[in-house]
Amino acid sequence: MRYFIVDDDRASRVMLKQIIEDSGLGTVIGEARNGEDAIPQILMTQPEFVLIDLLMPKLDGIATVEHLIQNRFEGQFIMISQVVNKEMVGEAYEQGIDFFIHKPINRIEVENVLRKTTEQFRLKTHSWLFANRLLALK
Amino acid sequence: MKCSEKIYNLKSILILIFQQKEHIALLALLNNLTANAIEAIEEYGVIAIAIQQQEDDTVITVCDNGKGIPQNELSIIFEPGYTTKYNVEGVAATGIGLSHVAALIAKLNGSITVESNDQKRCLKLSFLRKLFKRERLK
Repeated sequence: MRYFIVDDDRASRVMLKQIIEDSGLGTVIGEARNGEDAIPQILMTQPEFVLIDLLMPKLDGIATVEHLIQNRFEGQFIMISQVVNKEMVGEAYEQGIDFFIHKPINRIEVENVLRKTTEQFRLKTHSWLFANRLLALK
Repeated sequence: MKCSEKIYNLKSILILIFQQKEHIALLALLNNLTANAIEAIEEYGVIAIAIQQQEDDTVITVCDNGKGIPQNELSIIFEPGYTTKYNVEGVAATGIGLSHVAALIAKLNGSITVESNDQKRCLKLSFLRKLFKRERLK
């Protein structure tokens, strides 16, 4: 799987990248320190997953997600949240974000959340392929 | 918690006696660096601590032949919050050890450089020679 990380904290970006690559989940194809820088790169590289921080300078996580969806980005989002801010988390769910990773980083949590998102992605792709085959049979 | 056993050889190279007013800060520095060196060693290893006079500088080096630091991570190891250590529950360590070291060195007007290759990893601290009072070893 291909991942893109958006977080203003460099230490977190590097640590997440190490966890993803050490556990064989996939590769990190790009990173950005805020939403504004991330949008053009994500639209160009079309990663399967975007790990994105909730609170960032310039464009925050939710606004960035909104912008990407409007531009027909179809990858999945995994929100990184530092504060347990119920309002923002609620807003994130409303934007269609199903997965969260919390800060400070927990290696086991990150690995498990990312494995689940991968599984979900595979199921989605398989059912899509299956539906297409069924259509072809008609 | 499972405890693992390590065997390491601690060598110190000392020709002159160096005296310093900021010995507490210096001890904190050496404590951090030595602990890191021990943690870097997997099963067997050597840790060498030396203090030498090099032209206008007093240079302290802490070397180990543990797992080393990849070249692309050298620039981030002093960043606060960055860590490669996680406990069995997956919780990341605080990542303040080396950032604390960097702050202490800056306070003493010194500098720190890191070298890491397949054989060994060395952290080299340079201070102005006037910071130390020297005496011949009797």
